[in-house]
Formats: sequence, structure tokens, C-alpha cells
Amino acid sequence: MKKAVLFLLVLVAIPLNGQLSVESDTIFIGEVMITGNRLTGHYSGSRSASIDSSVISEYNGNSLADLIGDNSSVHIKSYGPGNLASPSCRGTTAGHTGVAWNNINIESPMTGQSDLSIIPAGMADDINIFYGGNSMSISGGSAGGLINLETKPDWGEKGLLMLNPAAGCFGRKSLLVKARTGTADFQSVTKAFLFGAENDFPYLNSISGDAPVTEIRENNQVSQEGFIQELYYRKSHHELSARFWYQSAARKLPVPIIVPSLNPPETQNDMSFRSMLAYDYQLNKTSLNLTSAFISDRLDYKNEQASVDSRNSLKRIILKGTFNSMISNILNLRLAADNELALVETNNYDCRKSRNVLSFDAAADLNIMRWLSANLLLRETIQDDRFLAPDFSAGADIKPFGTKENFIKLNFAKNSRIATLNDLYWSPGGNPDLRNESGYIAEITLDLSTTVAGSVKIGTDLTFYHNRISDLIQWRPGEYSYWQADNVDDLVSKGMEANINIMFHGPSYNFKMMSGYTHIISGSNGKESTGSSGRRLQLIYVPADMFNTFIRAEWKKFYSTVRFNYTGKRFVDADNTIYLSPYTVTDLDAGIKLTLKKTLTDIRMGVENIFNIDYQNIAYYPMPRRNFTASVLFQIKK
Amino acid sequence: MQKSFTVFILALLITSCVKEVNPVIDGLDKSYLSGQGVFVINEGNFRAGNGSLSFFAYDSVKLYNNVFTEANRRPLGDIPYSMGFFGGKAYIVVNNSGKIEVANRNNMKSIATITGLDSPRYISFVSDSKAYVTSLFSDSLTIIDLSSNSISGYINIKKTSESILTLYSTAYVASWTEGNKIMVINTATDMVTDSIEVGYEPESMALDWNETLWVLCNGGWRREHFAELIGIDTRTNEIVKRLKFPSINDSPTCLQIDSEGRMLYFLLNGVRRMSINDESLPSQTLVPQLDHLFYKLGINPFNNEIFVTDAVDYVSKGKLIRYRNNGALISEYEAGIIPGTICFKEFTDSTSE
Repeated sequence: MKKAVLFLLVLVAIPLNGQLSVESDTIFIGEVMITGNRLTGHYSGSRSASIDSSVISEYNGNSLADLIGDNSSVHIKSYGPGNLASPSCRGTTAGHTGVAWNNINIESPMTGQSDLSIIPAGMADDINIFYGGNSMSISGGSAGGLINLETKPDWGEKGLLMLNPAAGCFGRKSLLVKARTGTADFQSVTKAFLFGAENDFPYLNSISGDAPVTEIRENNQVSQEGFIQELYYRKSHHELSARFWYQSAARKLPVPIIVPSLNPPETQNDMSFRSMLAYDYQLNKTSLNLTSAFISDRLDYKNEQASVDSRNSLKRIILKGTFNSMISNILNLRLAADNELALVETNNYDCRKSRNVLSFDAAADLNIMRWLSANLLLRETIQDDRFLAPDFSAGADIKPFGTKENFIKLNFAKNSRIATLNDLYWSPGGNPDLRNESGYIAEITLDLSTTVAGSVKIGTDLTFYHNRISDLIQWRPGEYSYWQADNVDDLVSKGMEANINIMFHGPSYNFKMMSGYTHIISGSNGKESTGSSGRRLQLIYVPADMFNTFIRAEWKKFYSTVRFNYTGKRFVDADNTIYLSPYTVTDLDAGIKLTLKKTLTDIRMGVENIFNIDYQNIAYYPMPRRNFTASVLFQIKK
Repeated sequence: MQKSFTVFILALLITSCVKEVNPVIDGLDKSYLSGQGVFVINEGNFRAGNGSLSFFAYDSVKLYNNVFTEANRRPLGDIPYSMGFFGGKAYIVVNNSGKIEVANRNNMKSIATITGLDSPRYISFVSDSKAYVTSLFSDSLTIIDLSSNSISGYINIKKTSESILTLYSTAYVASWTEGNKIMVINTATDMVTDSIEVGYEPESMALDWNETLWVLCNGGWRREHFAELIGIDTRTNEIVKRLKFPSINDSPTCLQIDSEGRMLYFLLNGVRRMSINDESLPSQTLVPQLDHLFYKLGINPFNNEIFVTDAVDYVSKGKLIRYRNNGALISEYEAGIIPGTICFKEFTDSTSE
């Protein structure tokens, strides 16, 4: 036990090493052993990770941004609780990190991004993150990675009702309801989510006057509603599903503390309606999936002071089909087609716009030898009537130690990203002549897992990657007095990810630790993007170092969770002369689970930012100090 | 076991300490502001709070950056936009922070902060006790009481406002954004007395030796109107000269005048110069833009040197470029992000120390 504690100390001490200097070429990660969660049905050769459902349940009252930020190597750029939070994976931009729901991309083709702060974490049953080339198994364009939210039936469960109200500081209230019922062949799943917060937290203002003062954050209210209804029917080799997801959010947008509060404040209202019909057929070595989806998104932003009243309506129709056949014990073939029609009405374009993107995939998985498997994917995309240069992904899994579940994974991929509709058509500044971005991704992963002393499971992974995104689209000053979208530069990001999972249990206790460290070097490749030291300048708001640890211990009815999140130095200017200091946020939860027959009552208290630090994720957007939450989960199963 | 746990908790506490919550500037140098020189207001990016103030010192022939932050250990604000000097004080108009920082012009130590302004742009000192401040969003000018450094009133001009010039007891205010008027205000009564219709989007103004007000109308970003240079006789408020730029795409900015009040300068694909007596616009540049992105222009009123700021790419550090009056390059210096308005400072004013 003493050794285990010392081992934890080694891990936690990592961020102590000189605040993980950006200058250093060598990163000491200690003696870590690393794990990854292997997923089936996706391309080998690159890393993927799954967020455990027990972890998701701890975020029932939180957003996907909180969950992903605390439990993965995806960096979340957050403007504060309830406000815009965009993911950045492997040093790429938010536009290179996709978000999908049951394999259907839900990020906006207008912005190419998703706001994770308005997606409730508890609505998902499983969350998988596909890094690099592996993201092509869901969709194209996500060179950094892709977050896939899965909602699915549980055929082993006849019925379930769950209520999870929670409350916390700063007027924070949430309620998640889940109901599952059905028979052996039919299942209905209903989920509802309500959330509201004043977010009127105190923060230290040391910039407005000569002496620091504590102020209260203003104009930060948020309210959200979400509802999911899913129907599943299966018979023999067939399965039909219908899913509907309504979600809305109304927010006041706070300004950075360097700007006086606006009166009236800026507001943003988001509304999404997503529906999906899917048919699955599986017989022996053949499977077929047909999915159609209709997604309607609305985003209204208002800033009366600047006379901005932006109204945006987006409708998408998506048709997707996948045919999979195991030709032999060696060869598995997969053919897929994906068509997405997007229709946009907005007062920010000159007129109504539409775009159709059709893609065809042909993929082969080869189990060449017991110790070697490989795959190849070819994708051709047709944008309206234009054939684009094909994309590909090639990977291999090598099992060097015979029967042991240890792998060396190799992947090389080309993943293009089509310009967003705003990049093309925004008035003024949209540029219809933009070229698509081309991302080349190379990575190698060492994936090891072992069981020691009977019940101690240790999994580790270590990944090195190199991304190069050519023709990066950015907005820059145009010929007149407004900015214009253009293909300006190449983005190069490279780095390493190291993860370790340790689990052990005994007759009355369980212990789980998941820990990850990420080192990222990311910057433009242009000649002007090199500092006087000759070092490539780091992309703004991309931390060179991140470290997070999740530790959960259970003893009899009691449990406790501790989360540490270290975010390294982030430059806030292109010249890398202004930076935000590193910080570590520590959260602590403790609870008791009471079971009575088929009911479960889980009472939990939480302290976020237990050491009460003042910090900023984005410059001049303060984050909350120490705050408390309480939640009660009541669940009854049939 | 207990010892290990204690070390563990200590490690957490140490890593949880944040040295500085707000953005930190690497390599903040001691600044020397007492001599003659040129202030450059670096606007920074919208809502990024990375605007700053630079000072080019003739003594050391060096550009000192972040001089306000260095003097006061706090950032200047969001989008510092313009600056004026009065009574040994510098008044720095910080647009998106809605404030004016009043500082000693010789050391930049803060004296007062005037808050509560609505998107302020320029300041003009209309008397010993009063200044007017224009606004990008508000239909009113704000009146500042210079003795108490506070807002003392408003003048509703029913239009947003940009550049402002005061001659004797008359202030001329340009309504820039989608406007085409110069509002005339009696500074004794704070009343609008007249308005002069000019070209579309009057962006900048200059006053010549003959008290002719020159107005550069940009034409607007939609390029639906031709840009114009207009001369107004301030005695009659009548337009006496009207020169139209030849191409609808011509988008001139930043009208300036030399120390004698006889030569006009502005930016259009470089620095252009013309006499106030010319009957046509200059077809050639005095200083070609080349691979720079010229953003603002200033003519030193003491020696007619030409100073131009280069915004580079609007996100990286910009440049201050210094030319002789004949357009020959003297030197260039690294400034802050989006270096904008240039303000010339005379010799040390010892009374204000």
C-alpha cells in the first residue's frame, strides 16, 4: 500500500517539475505505465479512449465540457461556467475536433465547431474519443480527434427510473431524469435534463484599479433544457431505432473583466432538434447499417450596444449507409456512403446558402498474422459537384508479445476539412474561393495492459503524433477595413500522450485511478511564425503541458473521488510574449450509496476547486473559486 | 504512510498556487518617458485586453513597449484608441473598456480613471476645464470636467461620432459610421449650432494654416460610395474644395497635416502627400506600402518626420516605422499588437512631475 501511495506521488509530482517548462525538449513523465481502452469496430493503428459510464454518472449535472476537460487529453477552452467551451485536441483548433452523436456529426457546418458547454454530459450513455486518424471512422475533417456520444438500449435491463436532482453554489440547479422500459424486443428510453445557474461567483479583480478588489461576476446566467426520446425494436437479425433529441439554452454572455458589463447584456439562445432513424441488420459475417438524420439548429445572438442581432438557422439532412462483410478469416471489407445536405438561413450571409457533401468509403481490415493486423481506408468526397482529392487512413496493430494484450499501433492518414459555411459566405469577409484544409497525421502508440497480483489491472498507453494541416483557414485583414477568410498557413502540431489506468478491488473495496499527461507543440509553419530564439511559436491557448488524474475509492457503501487537473502555461498572443500562468484545480466528491431491494439512493457532496485558487482559462474570464454541490440520485430497477 | 500522505497534500497545495491570475508579460522593461518622443497606442485585439502603450524616445532612439503596464502594474485596458495631452497630463481613451486613463505624461503614473463612457474614441480639450469625448455607439458626446476628472454632461448630436477638432470656441465632430455629416458645436454653450453634409463616412480631419477644415471621407467598407477629400471654410462652414478619389475601391484613411499646415498626408496603399492648394489628388505614393500593412499615420509637428504603424497581421506585434520627410526610411521598431494612433510629446514638462 505504501508503494502505491508513493507511486501516486510520482504521478502528482509531474506538474511540479518546474511547472513543466515549455523550453525543455525533454519531458520527464516518471515511471508510468499507461492504458487505453480499446474499442472495437474502429480503425486500428491509432488511439481511442472511452469514458467510463461510472465517470459519466458523476457529471449528470454538468456539461460535456466539464466531463471531457477533466477526463481526457482534450483541452477545453472555456469562457467560464455556462459559457462557450470549445474542444482542442492535440494542439489543433476547435474546428479540427469533431463531435458526433451515434456516429452522426453534430457540429455546426456554419462554424465547424461545437459548444460543449450546452451539451449535458448525463444525456450520453457512452463517450468515446477517437484521436487523429481514428476519427475518420466516424467522419472526415477532424484531424485532431472526434468525440462520439452514444445513446443506446440496455437489452439486459427490463426497466429503470432514475432521478438525479442537484444543487450548488451560485444558484446552480440541475435535474436529470432517465426512464427505460420495454420488453425483450422493444425498449423505450426517455431522458430529460433541466439546468439553471446564476453563476454570480466572486472573483479577484486586480486590473481595474491600483488595489485588487473582490467583485461578483455579472450577466452570467444560463438556463438549459434537454429531452431525448429513443425507441428500439429488434427482431431476429434486425434492429430498428428512432431517436429524438431536443435541446435549448438561453444565456447571458459575460464580458471579460477588462471590459465594463454591458447593459443590456449580450445574449445567446441556442436550440437544436435532432432526429435519427436507424436500421441495423446482422447475419453471420455480414452487417448493414442505414441511418437517416434530420438536424435543425438555431442560434440567435444579440448585442444591443453594438447593434448586432444575428439570427442563424441551419437544417441538415444526413443519409448514411454502411455495409460490412467478413470475406474470410483474414479479410474484412467495409463500404460506406454518407450524404449531408446543409441549408442555412442567416442575416449574416447575402442570401440563403446550401451545400451537399457526399462521401464514399472503402475499407479493408486484414488480420495478416496472429501478431499483425492492418487496415486501409480510402475516402472520396464530392462537395456539391466538385470531386475532392481523396483521403486515406492506413494503420497497423502489432502484437509483439504473443498472447498478451500489448500492442504497437501505427497510423498514417490524410484527413481533409471542408471550409465552414461562415468561412465561405459570411458577409463581409467570406471567401468562396477557399481551398479545403488537408491534414496529414502520423502516430505511433504503445498500448500495454496487464494484471498483477490477481486483481490489480494496469493499463497504459504512450502515443507520439505529428500532424500537419496545410492551407489552414484563418481570418485576416483584407483589402478593405474588414477581415477576410483565407488559406494562410500550415499548422504543425506534435506531441505525446501518456495514460495510465489502475484498478483493483477486494471484498469490500474498489479502487480506480486514471491519469493522463499530454505534451503539445503546436504552431504555424510560416516563416514569420518563428520567434527570435528560432523556436516555433506555440498556438495561442494551447497549453504545452496538461495533466489530469481521477482517483476513485469505494469502501462498502461509501465512496470518494478526487480529480486533479493541471493546465500548463498558455500563451495568449501570437508572439508568445504574454501568457497565462499554469494552474491546478482539485475537486473532491464523497458520497454514500444505499440500496434497498431494487432501489438505489446515492447521496453525494462535492467541493470544486478545493484549494480556492483564482485562475483564468481564457484571459480576463475568471473561473469560480471553491464551491460546493450536493446531489441525490434515486434509481429504481425492475 | 502518514508521512507520504502529508507530502502528497503538500504537493497538491504547491501545484495549486497560481503565481499571477491575469496575463503576464514576458520581459517588461523599465521605460524612460521624460524626454521628447512619440507615443504609440497599440489597440490590441477586441476583448483580449492586450492593448498597450509604447513610447519612442528620441534620446535613446528606442521604442519602449508596455509603458503604462510597467508604470502601474496593471493592463491599460481593452482597445486603447487615442490620446490627448493637457496640462502635463495624458488622457488615454480606452475604447472597449469605456474609460479614460489620466496619467502623468512624463512617467505614465496613473492619476485618475474616468469610467462610464460608452465606446469612447477621441478626446478634444475645448477649454481649460472641459473636454469632449466622441463615441462609436452613443448618439451623444460626453463632456468631461477636467478638474474633477469626471463626466459632467452630454451633448446629444443624434449621431455616433469619431474624430473631433476644436478651433476657438467651435468643435467639429465627424459622424463616421454610416454617416455623412460634420456636426458643429458651440463649446461655450455645448449646443449643436450647425451641420455640414460631406461625403460618406468622414473618417479623419485636419486643420490647415488658413483654418480650412479638411475632411477625409472613406466611402464605407461596402465600397458603394467614392471616397472624397473635402475642404471646409470654418468661417462660413461652406465646402470650398471637393476632390473625389478615382476608384470606388480607393479606401483612404488617416488624414494628417504637417507642422506648417500646408501639406496634407493620408494612407492609401502607402503614404500620400499633397499640398492644400493642389487641385487633384496625388496619384503616386510618397512611401509605398510594399509588404507592410500601414494602419495609422502621424507627422511629427516639430520636425515633420513621418511615422507610420504597420499592423502586420493584426495578431502579431506590429511595427512603428520612421521616415524622413522625403519618404526615406530611417528605422523601424517592434511595437505592440495593432499599433494605432500616434501622439507626439514635446520636451519634459517639469511642472507636471
